[in-house]
Amino acid sequence: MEKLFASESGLKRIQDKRISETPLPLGQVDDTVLNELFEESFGQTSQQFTRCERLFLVAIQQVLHQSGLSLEQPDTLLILSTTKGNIDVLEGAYGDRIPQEAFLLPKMTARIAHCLKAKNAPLLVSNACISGLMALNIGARYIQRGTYKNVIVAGADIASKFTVSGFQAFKALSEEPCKPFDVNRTGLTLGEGAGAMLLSSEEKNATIEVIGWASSNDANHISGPSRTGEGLYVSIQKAMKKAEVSATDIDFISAHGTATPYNDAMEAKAFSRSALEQVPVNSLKGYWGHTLGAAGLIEAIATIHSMEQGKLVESKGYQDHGVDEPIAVIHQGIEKELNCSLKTASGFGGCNAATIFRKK
Amino acid sequence: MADKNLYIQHSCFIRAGKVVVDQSQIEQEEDGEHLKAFLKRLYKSRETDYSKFHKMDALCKLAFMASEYVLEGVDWKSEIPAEDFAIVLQNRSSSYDSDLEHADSIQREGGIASPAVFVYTLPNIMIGEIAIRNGIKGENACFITDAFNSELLVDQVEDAFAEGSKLVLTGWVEQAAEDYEAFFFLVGQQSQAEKKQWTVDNVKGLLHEPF
Repeated sequence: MEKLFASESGLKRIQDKRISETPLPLGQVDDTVLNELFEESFGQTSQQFTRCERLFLVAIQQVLHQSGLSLEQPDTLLILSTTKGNIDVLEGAYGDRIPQEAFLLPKMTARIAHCLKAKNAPLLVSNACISGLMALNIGARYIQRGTYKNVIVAGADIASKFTVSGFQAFKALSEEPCKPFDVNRTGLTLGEGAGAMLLSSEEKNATIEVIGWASSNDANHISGPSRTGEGLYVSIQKAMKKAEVSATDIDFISAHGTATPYNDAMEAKAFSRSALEQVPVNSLKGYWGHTLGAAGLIEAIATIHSMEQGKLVESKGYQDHGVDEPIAVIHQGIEKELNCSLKTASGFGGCNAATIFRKK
Repeated sequence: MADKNLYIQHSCFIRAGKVVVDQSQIEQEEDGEHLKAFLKRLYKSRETDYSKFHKMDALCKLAFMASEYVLEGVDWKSEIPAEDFAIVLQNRSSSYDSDLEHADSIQREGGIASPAVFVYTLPNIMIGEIAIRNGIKGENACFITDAFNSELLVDQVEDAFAEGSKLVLTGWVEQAAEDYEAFFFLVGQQSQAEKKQWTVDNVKGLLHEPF
């Protein structure tokens, strides 16, 4: 978080033929660091797990360690979210070290569950780029319904040739680090990473409440957002209704902000339609790239840190306003009391999600 | 918060070469017919004109056909807003065929990645296709489970209703090469005598009916 508040980006130009034929900016997790964290957390070699599994496991273990909880408890559920999981197994990244079937998401889930000795079979949500936020929303619902006392929500995705080449085929990747909401934005920058969050019905030391959530479909196009921001608008309205808050209660919006021309225009439209034009908004994609299925969750975690510390993070890459609506993109990080925040995400398949947090 | 007054309005099973809608068999695979040919024949037999169908991968075509059967003659638009119609689906192999096709295109010498294939490398695209076809704008969730999990589905659908959904299209759509299986249920609050309640036992009962 210190780096975010200092506006330091982790994006680097990489030259790695395993990921892309041409050099490109990327938010990559250093393998050595990941392996050290893994071996520290689990006291065993990281070699028997894939990169995506290591990302998941390290993030989840940190939450378990901090909270003193264990997945062996019957009142605790794990919900995973990802778009492509172990897709690099399909690319032959591990030779014989990892069985080919680990490429299937239920197998990955089972391998993670086994490592963590999970009593309840974990759920896995795969809803394109809203996966992480959907997992959070579903977790919040399980807590509300009283099915579980604790839900650990985790999201992870890796940067792979599979996804990089796909987005290149869509001509959606920027040559330079992405510039969400900027007039000169030319597309997205991919990233990889993991996040994990504990949701609990027990107050204990909790500082933030999840008070509203919703998802909606544009019913418009499978790979392009609705020009009217329809699905996102509906998600925001439903989440505000559930949270019993109005637009004037929202202090901050953590947007999806992929920096593709259409996505950012769509989001600005949806925020404007929701009377949220005056609310400070950022996209964190300029710091670590678009982490796909993990993005909504990682950015929700950053939102919570912002609320706890009362600091707004600059929207990295934004210089000149580049969307029609005069939304309040954060030029420079400032201190501000944040009582109520909105996190949004949108993805392929026309899906959108929104979550509202309140400081206790 | 569970809403116990939910009923299966319609169901559709496409598996083992048969299409069964509301417990009546209406179509059957021909000897030696491959899945893609079978789905194309099903599409043609309905005389629908929806050119997007031909661009879909097999998983989406399967989900699309199951949704066409289950929504046939259902005039929901006059009764509920589009954002109160949710879709909750489950599968096992995610977007298996499209994953292999895209991976092959980038690994093969001289191969080129195609956006038309890449977009289908996400399992929730099948929800998007059904949403676009029908103008459905409600909650949409896609779970990946090792096998059909009726408990999860019943819970999720109850939760969707508890949060304001008025109709939920839900089920299991699994497809990898020639292995396929689709069970769809349209769940609503209308309770005519012949309609089964939306419970784990009733879902399992329908699943195990011989046909």
